[in-house]
Amino acid sequence: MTVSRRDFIKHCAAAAAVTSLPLGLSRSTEAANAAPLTATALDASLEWGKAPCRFCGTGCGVMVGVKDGKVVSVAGDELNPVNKGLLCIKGYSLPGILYGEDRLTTPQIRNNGKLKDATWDEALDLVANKFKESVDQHGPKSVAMYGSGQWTITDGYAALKWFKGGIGSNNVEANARLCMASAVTGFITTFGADEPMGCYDDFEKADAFVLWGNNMAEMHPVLFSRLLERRRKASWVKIHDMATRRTPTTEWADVHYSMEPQSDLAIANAIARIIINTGRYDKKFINEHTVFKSGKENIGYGLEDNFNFKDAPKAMTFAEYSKYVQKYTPAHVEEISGIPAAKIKQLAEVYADKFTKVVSLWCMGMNQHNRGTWINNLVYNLHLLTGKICAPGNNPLSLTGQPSACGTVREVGTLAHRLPSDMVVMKPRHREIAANIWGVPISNINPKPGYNTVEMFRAFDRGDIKVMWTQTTNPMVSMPNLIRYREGAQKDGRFLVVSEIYPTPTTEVADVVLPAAMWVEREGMFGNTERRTQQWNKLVDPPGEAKSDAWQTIEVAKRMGYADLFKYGEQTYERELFEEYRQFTLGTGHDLGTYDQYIAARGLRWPVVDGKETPWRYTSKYDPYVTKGKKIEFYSNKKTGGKAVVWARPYEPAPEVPDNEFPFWLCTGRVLEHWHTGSMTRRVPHLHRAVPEAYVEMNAKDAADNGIQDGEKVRVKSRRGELELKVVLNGKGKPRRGSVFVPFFDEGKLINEVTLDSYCPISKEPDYKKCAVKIEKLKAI
Amino acid sequence: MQADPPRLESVKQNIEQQIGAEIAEVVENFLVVVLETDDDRQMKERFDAIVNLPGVISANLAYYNTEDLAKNS
Repeated sequence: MTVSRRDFIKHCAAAAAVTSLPLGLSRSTEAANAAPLTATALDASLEWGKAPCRFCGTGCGVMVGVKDGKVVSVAGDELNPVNKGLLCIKGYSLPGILYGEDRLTTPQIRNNGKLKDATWDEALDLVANKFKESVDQHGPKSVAMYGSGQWTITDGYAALKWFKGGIGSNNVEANARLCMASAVTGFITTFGADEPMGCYDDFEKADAFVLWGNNMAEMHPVLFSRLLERRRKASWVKIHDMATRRTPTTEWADVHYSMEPQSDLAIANAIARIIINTGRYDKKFINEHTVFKSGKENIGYGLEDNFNFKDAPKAMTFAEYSKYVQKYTPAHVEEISGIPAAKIKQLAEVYADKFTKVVSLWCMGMNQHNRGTWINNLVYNLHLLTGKICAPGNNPLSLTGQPSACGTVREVGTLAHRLPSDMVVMKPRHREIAANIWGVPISNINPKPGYNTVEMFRAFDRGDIKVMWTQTTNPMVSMPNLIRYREGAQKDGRFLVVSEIYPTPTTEVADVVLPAAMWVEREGMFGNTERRTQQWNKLVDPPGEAKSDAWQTIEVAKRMGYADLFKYGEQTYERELFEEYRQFTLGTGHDLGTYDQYIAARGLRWPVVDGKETPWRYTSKYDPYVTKGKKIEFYSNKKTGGKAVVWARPYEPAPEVPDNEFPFWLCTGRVLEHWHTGSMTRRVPHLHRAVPEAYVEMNAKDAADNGIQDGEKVRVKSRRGELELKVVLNGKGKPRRGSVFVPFFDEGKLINEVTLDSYCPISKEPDYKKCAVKIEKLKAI
Repeated sequence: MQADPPRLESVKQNIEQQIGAEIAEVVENFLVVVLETDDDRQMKERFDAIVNLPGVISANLAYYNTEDLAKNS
């Protein structure tokens, strides 16, 4: 029996793998007969359901196998066009993250310094009373909700409606501010609307891929395998890897450009200059579809409390813009970037050559950037100047790190200035639309934006915010300049509520901890990088008394007297919340389908019009919103008459650069084995054992100069904090000279105590990639 | 998993020498490999060993099952 069961499982596994092989590969007849594909791939003795993966923003489809009420099996969903049956090593850990030994199962209230079990009624009443008391005594600005790009769409929508439509506070933020905000402001300032025009289908059409500071092989492995497959099929295809360290991506790239941190601004301008000076810009496209603008310069870094910035765009001509970029000669940019002038010219050719279809890809390298909006604008410039946009295989694409940073935070609008569907609280017409859908007086919605994430935690430290609720996020690991914000959260008069699945450094400082149901323990929806919205059903029960974030929010809102906002059925609230939210999107170009359409589909890319998804936007061939008779139209940009903006943005240095005292750049980031702050993946024993603690990657020559050996312990010290870490030389990542890299997943070694809380003045997204540190060799005891 | 075509044969040989690894199918330079281990730790170690073989371009997961077969028999 055991043998046959074992063989059967192996057959399922092999068959599932074979179905996920790239299309067009020919199997031998013998092999096909030995292991026929189709439904035999899934073990029929399990119950199966579809879901998007819980981890990154790629949005891979997963088939989840359940036995005796427990998730025991996962398989890549061959019907899902994102991953076509493949999953990365993180996907294989999905069952493990549900079943860590210390899952939170009961509400807890802090009493005499210790968290003690409580009933849901006790916990919810306490939370509601604290919020009410603070709003009554100190006004709506004294409370805050800090959510997540891992929130489901309805989790985010419930929180937004309660805060903006009920309490009258715009202090709703989400951790996507820390990872995607620069992509948002980049899209909005250039195209008038958030989110990409292209999609993953571009990967099978492109001739070249330019990765702007993006370790795609480790961070988005399934998408990277699509790039490799494209290159395998089309020998002329090249992968260009521009980065401050060599990574596994570099190993498979055709060309590596080792760049100095912050110099991407200058490199993009140098490429634009070459395109213009060699006359290879697309004159017709520029005339018909673009305008040119400049903005303020020397715009600061958001380092002081209550930092405020407003850009002042000015129109300019193409001739003025051409003149503006002239200072970025290859020789000058070689000095800034460290990339030889000849290689800068080589990279420029990728964009300038009219026959090369190019996809630009980036993630945190460009978004977690003190000039994040600018660098997004500058890369769009390259596609706009050459007309290489809105066509299959020719597009820029900002990759996302969380499963619903797009679907929830960006589309629902859980940010301090936003309402759903790209609307903002500052515009009376937008407030009116929201108030009508919510059935509340327009006066309920505050016209003044709330605090952005960094300012929100600063306000909590100062005491301007007194009560904060975090859901599905771990700010006491992920906030930059962490010491200040952790101490602030523990000050007298602050009340912190944390909804979580496991104990974290954030629950450690919480006054109330609420156990959350996650992923397939509840019904939900995520929206991925390429505008694809995906739905899943509840497949297993959550442990103990855990409940979804949306349920928790609604219960507290009801206890505060906002029951009228949440008149949904106990069993149907997910569907009802979504259908109500969907009303915001109809007729806006962000149109979502019906709940039933998402139950049936492997995700749909919005705008979904008459049940049909839109793979490419702003082009008449695919997008029904383009005005009849026009081929391309950036219709969301009303101010410019449907044109995109080419921005003149300069290179400016980072706020803190290496000097004699702190001679190294510090860059932080992720590792393949752990997801973000590690609260889930560190519970999966084999992942924890594989990478048990944070370390510091150094350049081998820098280490030799400082007498440091591989594996030796050093102190990484900045002006804000310090951390002892083991040195890794010649590991998977190899930083360029003068820079070091430390992953941020380890709650036992918090690198964010060392980082700087500077942010892009436009997007308010912090720069986790650049501050100055020293490396001190520890003396042997 | 995907192997560098000129190194396909050596990749195959290396995998066949690994305990608990079976090559279920080879289609051009793509290999379907089934790994069976006693626990997750071994699984991760063997997966990493394969990923790190010279000539392996990428390895992805298509199916994962955890089951106590002794208990079920």
